[in-house]
Amino acid sequence: MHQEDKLKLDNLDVELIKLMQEDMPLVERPFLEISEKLNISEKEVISWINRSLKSGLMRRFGARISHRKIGIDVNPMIAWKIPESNIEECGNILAKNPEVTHCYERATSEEWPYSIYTMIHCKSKSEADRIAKSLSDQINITDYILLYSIRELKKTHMAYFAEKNK
Amino acid sequence: MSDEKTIKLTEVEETLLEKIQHNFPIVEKPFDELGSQLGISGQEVIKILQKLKSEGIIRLIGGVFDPRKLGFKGTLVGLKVDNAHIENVVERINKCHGVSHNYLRDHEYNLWFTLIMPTKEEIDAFIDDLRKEEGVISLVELPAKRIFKIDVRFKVKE
Repeated sequence: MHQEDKLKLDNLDVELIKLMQEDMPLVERPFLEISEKLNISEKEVISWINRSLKSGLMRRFGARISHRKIGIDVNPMIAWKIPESNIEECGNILAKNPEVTHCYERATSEEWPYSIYTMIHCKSKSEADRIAKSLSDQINITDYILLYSIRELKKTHMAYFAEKNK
Repeated sequence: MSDEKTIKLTEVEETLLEKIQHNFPIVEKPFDELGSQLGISGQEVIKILQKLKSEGIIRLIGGVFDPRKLGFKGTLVGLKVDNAHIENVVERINKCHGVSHNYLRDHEYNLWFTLIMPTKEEIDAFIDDLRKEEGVISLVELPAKRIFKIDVRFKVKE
């Protein structure tokens, strides 16, 4: 992507990222507990989180849930073959659908011509097929493939700046 | 699809799960705040969260960072791997700390994983090695050109 996306981070930012990406303690004042590890105040931690959410450094703060455990266990990726000139319009339309959690334009090649990727999450294959058909109708593109997941082989959160990260 | 069984939730659990995916209060006493929204105590909120964690419904409560803002590079990789070698290839991929998601998918390109690393050079080196792995017939690397949407929130309530 673009080089200018990178934010300037100091040592305290890095230390906060390392702590905030881990599971927060379930205690009355979790941010106080985190602040004590860094010898800063609870207020500083709270305002850092708010600043990070505003700058986009942190996309969100909250719970990551295992959707498979609550019955949302059909999670196909849909790859769309869309002419270059329509990518922007189609991407915006697809992204408006609440069923779509991720919508990306990706590099194409002769071997692999699909340009837009959407992730959808639902409870059955028939529901997934129906959503895919609806998305297809909305953008008037019929050239797409549904890549159903057969098995989750790995799912974990990224640990940035961790020593093991090599 | 999956071998995990679906767990039934109470209404309070469902409401709490919806709230904490995106509206986690960033205040001194977040669990008290959630409790007051739900009409229960902060201690009760903590008890429910502990239970949902032990059941594996909540993986983690914390920050989700944008790799690009941290200066990291990311990509999506799809592989066509012959079945005889798939286990070894999966092991090779999963060992890498930059791989956060890896799925077996119902397609000729049967393995799909996301890769996030500090530099493009490290991504290229990892992918070059992977191409040489026994059983890898073909590999496509699909770096993102544009993000139209990332909004991972799951509807818990019907």
